Amino acid sequence: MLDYVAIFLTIIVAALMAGGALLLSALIGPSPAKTKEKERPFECGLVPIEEPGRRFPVHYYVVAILFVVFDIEVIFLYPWIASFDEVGLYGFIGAMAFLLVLTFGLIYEWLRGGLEWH
Amino acid sequence: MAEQIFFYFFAALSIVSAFLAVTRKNPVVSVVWLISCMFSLAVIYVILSAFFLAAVQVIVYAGAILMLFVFVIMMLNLKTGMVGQLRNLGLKFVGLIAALLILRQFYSAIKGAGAMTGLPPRAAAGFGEAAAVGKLLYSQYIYPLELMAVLLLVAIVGALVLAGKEQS
Repeated sequence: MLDYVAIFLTIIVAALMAGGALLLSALIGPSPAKTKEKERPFECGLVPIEEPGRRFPVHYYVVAILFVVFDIEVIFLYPWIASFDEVGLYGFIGAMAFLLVLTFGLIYEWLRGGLEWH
Repeated sequence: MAEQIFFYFFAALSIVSAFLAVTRKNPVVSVVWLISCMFSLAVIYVILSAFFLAAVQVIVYAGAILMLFVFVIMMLNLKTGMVGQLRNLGLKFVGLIAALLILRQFYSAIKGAGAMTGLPPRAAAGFGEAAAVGKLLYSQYIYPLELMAVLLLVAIVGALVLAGKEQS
């Protein structure tokens, strides 16, 4: 529990530092007049060509959902590693079965071309 | 005492964030409030000594799943105010039924909590940490774990069938 209080304090200090820097620069810095040019989004000094909210190709979504699936797979392996000595052979076989089922998914994904971009 | 202050603060924050996530007109802003809601829930998990669950909540929910939400918003190219048009009468009816079911769950949960008396039992040392979760998951709950693998397999196949390339 105490470790988490430390994390919480870190978040508070980080927020205070970021917020304090902004607040201080707003308070003691010069405040130039707001023009339309200055309110525009800054894009490497170039004039923005189009609205940022464009339609995404669906392939990004496929990559993202496959990432989440294998992310969860790793999350489930972590408790196994942490309790490796205690769960023994039974846990080992269980983890291998878990991995085997998901390896079928990986093979299917590979054959189907989900790992290729074009 | 400190735990109570943390609980009430983050419980209130999660409710307010969830409310704002539902009511915002811009879907991207909704997702940001949802991240705040997920994070508050992670803090509540810590207070409940479910440390592993709290870490997973931040990594998977606030990280990966919310990223998927943003991808869906960008894929559909939802602009501010477009979500309101999608809320038709049928969806509102389904929402009403879901809300009533959740209220019923709340009622039974609060009734159950009212019956409890005395101090809650103290959690054993190491409770809720990855090793303790693993010990249960890879012995007593091995069958649900294998079912999880099948569920994840269905997610892989489903994503590829729905959105993947045509098989040549």
